[in-house]
Amino acid sequence: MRTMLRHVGLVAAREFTERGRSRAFLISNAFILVVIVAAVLVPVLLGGGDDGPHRLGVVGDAAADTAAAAVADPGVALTVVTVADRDAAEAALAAGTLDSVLVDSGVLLVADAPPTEVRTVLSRAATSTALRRLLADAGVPPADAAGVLAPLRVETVGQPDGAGVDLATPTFVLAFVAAFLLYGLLALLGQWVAQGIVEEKQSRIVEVLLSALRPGELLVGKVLGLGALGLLQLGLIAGAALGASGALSGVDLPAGGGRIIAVVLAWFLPGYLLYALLFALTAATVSRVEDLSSASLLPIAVLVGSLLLAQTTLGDPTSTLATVVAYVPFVAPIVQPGLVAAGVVGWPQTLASLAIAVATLALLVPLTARVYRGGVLRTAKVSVREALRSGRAAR
Amino acid sequence: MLELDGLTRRYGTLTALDGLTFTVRPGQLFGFVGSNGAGKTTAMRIVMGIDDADAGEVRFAGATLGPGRRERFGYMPEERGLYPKVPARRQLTYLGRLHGMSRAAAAAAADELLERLGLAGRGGDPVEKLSLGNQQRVQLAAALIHAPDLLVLDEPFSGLDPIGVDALAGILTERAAAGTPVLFSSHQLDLVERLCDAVAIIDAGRLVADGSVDVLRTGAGGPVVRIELGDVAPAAFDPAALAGVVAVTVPAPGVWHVELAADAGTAVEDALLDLARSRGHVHHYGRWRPTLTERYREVVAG
Repeated sequence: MRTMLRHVGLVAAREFTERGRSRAFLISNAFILVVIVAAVLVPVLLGGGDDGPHRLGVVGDAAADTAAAAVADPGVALTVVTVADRDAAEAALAAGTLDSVLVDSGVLLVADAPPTEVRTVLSRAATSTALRRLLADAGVPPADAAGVLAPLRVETVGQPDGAGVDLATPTFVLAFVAAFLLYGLLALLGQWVAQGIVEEKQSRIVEVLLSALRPGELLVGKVLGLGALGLLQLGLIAGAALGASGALSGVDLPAGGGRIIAVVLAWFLPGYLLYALLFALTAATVSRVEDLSSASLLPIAVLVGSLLLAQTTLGDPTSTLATVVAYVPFVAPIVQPGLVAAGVVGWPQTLASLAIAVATLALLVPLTARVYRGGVLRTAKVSVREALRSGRAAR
Repeated sequence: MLELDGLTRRYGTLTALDGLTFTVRPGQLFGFVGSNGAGKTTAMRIVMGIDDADAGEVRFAGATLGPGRRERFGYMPEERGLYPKVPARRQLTYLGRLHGMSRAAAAAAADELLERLGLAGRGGDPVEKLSLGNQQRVQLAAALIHAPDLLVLDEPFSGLDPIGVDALAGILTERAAAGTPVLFSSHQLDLVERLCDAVAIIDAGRLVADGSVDVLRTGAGGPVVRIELGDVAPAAFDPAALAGVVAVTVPAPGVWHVELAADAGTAVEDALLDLARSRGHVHHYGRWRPTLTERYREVVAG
């Protein structure tokens, strides 16, 4: 047992450090980090830099009324400052202490072109203020005037029990992004595992290694080492994204977002192990890096299929299909975030599905170790069945 | 002591090993000889726990070896293999640690071996940047790094230049002298004859001969005398008629190999020499043994 742990630890440490210091890994990570930071920073920088509320000066009572109506509008954040007269307004704009000044009811003084939303909201406020005053002058009671000026009310009908899902809500966007991120990470890490196995076969060092350790130790060490590296990469990506956005504006998680993130994190390890072993199993049947893409076809197809199922099930989250695939190993990690967002999968279902995944792993580990052992010394491509037969005493 | 006992291995309909049995004693430099496909590599892989026997077992120091994991053995596979992009020193250290060494001990052993193999200063180079001969040396170092209790080397001399052969022979002789059993396969029979204490010859997965090189060369029959005569007609000299002579062969014109009965005394040899001198001019008269190569052809063909 101690020897096994030592071997697994040594292999895992080697995979972690050798892959972690490879130029491809460093360059790809630097690239990802730059893209993320740029994605967060560039819109802010192009948007003018200061992200605070728009500082609006008002000259005269009519302007003050319009500003009051505009402040009530949720479309824009305004700070309103009363300014004595037009000269003072121009001085404040020149000094940059105000972004724009509304003079009486007709003129907006600006130094730079104001953001579109500000202009829209102010125009709307000016119109409604003028209308309200005209209605009051015409003797219309304020309650009736409010009715005239009320915005259109929208009512949703024909969707009993909320079964239809509005996929454009921030919660679903988060679920999609999470599922897609998990998909990408599993595909990347799975390819690393497959590549590592075939490279060792192609360079033939595997025969030297197998004289010192068991195929299962080599397999598990490789999977764990690369998994740890993947987790580090996930942490880096998430940290960079959160750090860059948090430092600038402060991102609010949508409703239920915490649970979705928790589900994705809970699925990372079992999902990674399932796919890493599947990639390892198919990689063990070939012996040249050139044959790797055809060997990885099966796990990639399962991943892509899961992503498609994630999309399909969200169209009808209460369907039998959705209920079933939430428990299917390999598919569950990808479809569950969306189903959690739809509110049809709770923690009991997630835990049951995780238990099924762990049971699958318990079968997959010896199976993969056996195919690995049977295929690892073959120089030609072998079928899984052949590899199983010659690796019969998997250890 | 390494014992192979009744090893049998089948791949589908092909029988790679068929009840192979032989023993390598401590301190023995043991040559493993056979034509391509005779089963040498399969036997060595089974000894190293990389392949499984269908029947039979392998014992070391009296204990039956379980599946896999030969931490105390050193192995050099026929298909050489190292991580091509990893510096020699780093991968030797890693392999040493896999064999149970501490990091410091493995690093020290790697440095010492690299120095010994004339690769001091090249330890930081990725293996793929080394010449083939130097890669082979690193491969040998990988088998030796943990001072193994048994060395199993599959064709260690193939691809080496004469200097490399001498260096490797020196190292193997030294390890054997220190008490480590060394089992290696080779097609270079003159080398095996020169280096080895004992030899096993296999054919189609079966042992056809084994034992010390001396015994193998002498064979099971009685002593053989080689006689070379000048100025004589072949028919004029016929030793077969002499009492005590078992068989006569003429490998070349003017050359006779005369096998005597195992219990033939010196009187028979004197009589043979007298007969030869009475027939012609004796260029050579002496005991003769076949070389290992000749003996190999004989047992494998027969």
